[in-house]
This record gives sequence, C-alpha cells and structure tokens, in this order.
Amino acid sequence: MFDPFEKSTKKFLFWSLFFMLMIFMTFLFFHPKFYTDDRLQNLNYENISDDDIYRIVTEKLRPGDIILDEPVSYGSRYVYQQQFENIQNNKIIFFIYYNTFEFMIDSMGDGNYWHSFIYMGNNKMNSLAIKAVEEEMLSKHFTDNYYFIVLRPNVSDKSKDDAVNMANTNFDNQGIIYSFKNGLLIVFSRATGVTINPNIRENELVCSSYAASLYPELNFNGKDYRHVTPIDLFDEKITEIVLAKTRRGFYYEK
Amino acid sequence: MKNRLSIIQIVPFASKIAVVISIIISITLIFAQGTHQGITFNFQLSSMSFLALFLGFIVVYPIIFLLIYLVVSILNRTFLKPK
Repeated sequence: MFDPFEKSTKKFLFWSLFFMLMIFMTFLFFHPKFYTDDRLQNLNYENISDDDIYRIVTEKLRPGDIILDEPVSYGSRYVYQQQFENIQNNKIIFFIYYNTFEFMIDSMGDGNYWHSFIYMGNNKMNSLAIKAVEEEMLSKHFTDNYYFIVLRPNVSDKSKDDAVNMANTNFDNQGIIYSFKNGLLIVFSRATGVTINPNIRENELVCSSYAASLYPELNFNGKDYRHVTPIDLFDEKITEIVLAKTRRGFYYEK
Repeated sequence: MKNRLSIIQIVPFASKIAVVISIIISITLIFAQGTHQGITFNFQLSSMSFLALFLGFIVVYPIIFLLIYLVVSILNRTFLKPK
C-alpha cells in the first residue's frame, strides 16, 4: 500500500522530485535549438563522390583557412576516432560522451559544429583539443566521416602566415591549455543568452576561441576572442565560405 | 537470500550515490585542463567556478542517476528473489 506519510515513501518522493528538478533545469538551460543560415542554404550544392570531395578539398584548401566540422553520424564519429588511442574508444564512454557533447552543442543553436581547426598546409590541421594543441592529418577518412565548412578569413596573406606561424609555435611550446570550465561557461552563456563575461585567461581556451586567437585583427562583432563560439567565426563580415559539405551536398568555389 | 527491493527503496539509494558521484565528476571537470601531458588539475577557484560546478552537476547528475538505477535494478532482479 502506498502511504505518502511513511518514511520510505517520503524519501522516494523527495529523490524522485529532485531528479525531475535536475532534468527540468538541464532542459531549461541547455534545450536544443535549431539553426538555419541563409548563407549555407543558398549555396549551389552538388552531389559528387567521396573521392572527388577529398581531391577538391586538398586542392582548394590554403594555409590559414578555418575548418569547422561535425560528425556525419554517431557511427561515423566512432569509426573515425578508432585511429587514435583514446578513452572514448570504449563503447559505453563513447555513448555517454557523444550524446552529452551533442546535447551541449545543440543547445547553443550555433549550427552544431563540434570542433574548429586551422589549416597549416601539407594536409595538416592544427587545433586546441583535449590534449592541448594538436596536429591532425586531413585524410579521406576525415572528409568521408565529417560534415564541414571551410572559412577563409578576410585578412591579408601576411596575417594568414602569421596565424599559421603562431599555431606552429603553440604546437611546439604547448603553452595553451584546454579548459573544460570555460567551455561550460561559454556554452551556458550562448545557450541562455545570459551575458556573464567570464574572466578567461589567455592560455585557457576552447577550440573556437583558440582559432579566433590566431587572428587578432578580426573583430568578432565586438566580442572578446576568448568568448568566441564557432558561429562567431562563421560571419560574412570576417570570413568567406570556400568549401562546404553538408547534408544537402558539397559546395566549392569554381 | 534477501527479498527483492522495490522502486521505493531503489530510487533514494541510486539518487544519493548519483549526487556524490556527480559532485566529484563536476569538481573534476571544472578543475581539469587538457595539456600535452594529459589531463591535469589546477585547483584555483575563480568567481565563475561555482556556476560551472552547478552547470556541471545538472548535466552529469541525470546521466549518473539513470546509470546507477539501471545497474541496481538489473542486479536486484538477477540476484534477489521476489517477495
């Protein structure tokens, strides 16, 4: 018999309500938001083979270009990361990681881009990842398993060279670290629209703010580069779309 | 052999454990930094640390609770006899 005044029933009700309150707060702050962008919608997409996509990407990329990516699917992300020694290769950890991370990214309503790289030339991509500044090869495996857009900053060639040199220096010195706390605060700020302006140290960044830090002359709508999210890089005033692989097809400048 | 636990007993048990684990994970998360040597910890509090701790907790807690609830329920059904 269910007696609401019995001690064990009271405990059950308390902890059930606590759980529901937490779920409510999670969705209050981090509910998924849909994002559409006219710039991406209006591109002339083509349906071409994966081999051609890889060939065109390697031909068109220039050092200093910024690459934003998102996995094609749960499976493709899992298959792609198997090439790296990683704790996420465990299936249970990967399940929790993938869904939680995607939930957080979706909550920003920023086009669901997971990561940002800077292209260094010679098929190398530099980025700030969990193991600090890393270099990754741009392979066919990458172009097959990820949707991506390539953005070319509207700056001089010298600025692009400086950005590449700075990224090389960061890779050698490893002075910049990935901050989970700042990532959480940036996502919260963007997801809720609450301007909290966390005091972020210059060497404690996340992937998009790292890419932004390489282009000090760009103005991200008056925003401090340390608070930049992927969508701030994706702005026609500061970058031009060179390549895009989305659900609709593949776009490239002819 | 003990009798099977009811949902009224499992929920508070799972929830208390989930609270403890979630707080530990959240604290770990806000002090964790990704460096080339792996994950390191910088135990410096800033003004936003408590907000980050709270945000970490509300994201992590439901996942941990569901996992523990699932595990306890399975163990309960497997090893304990029905009343």
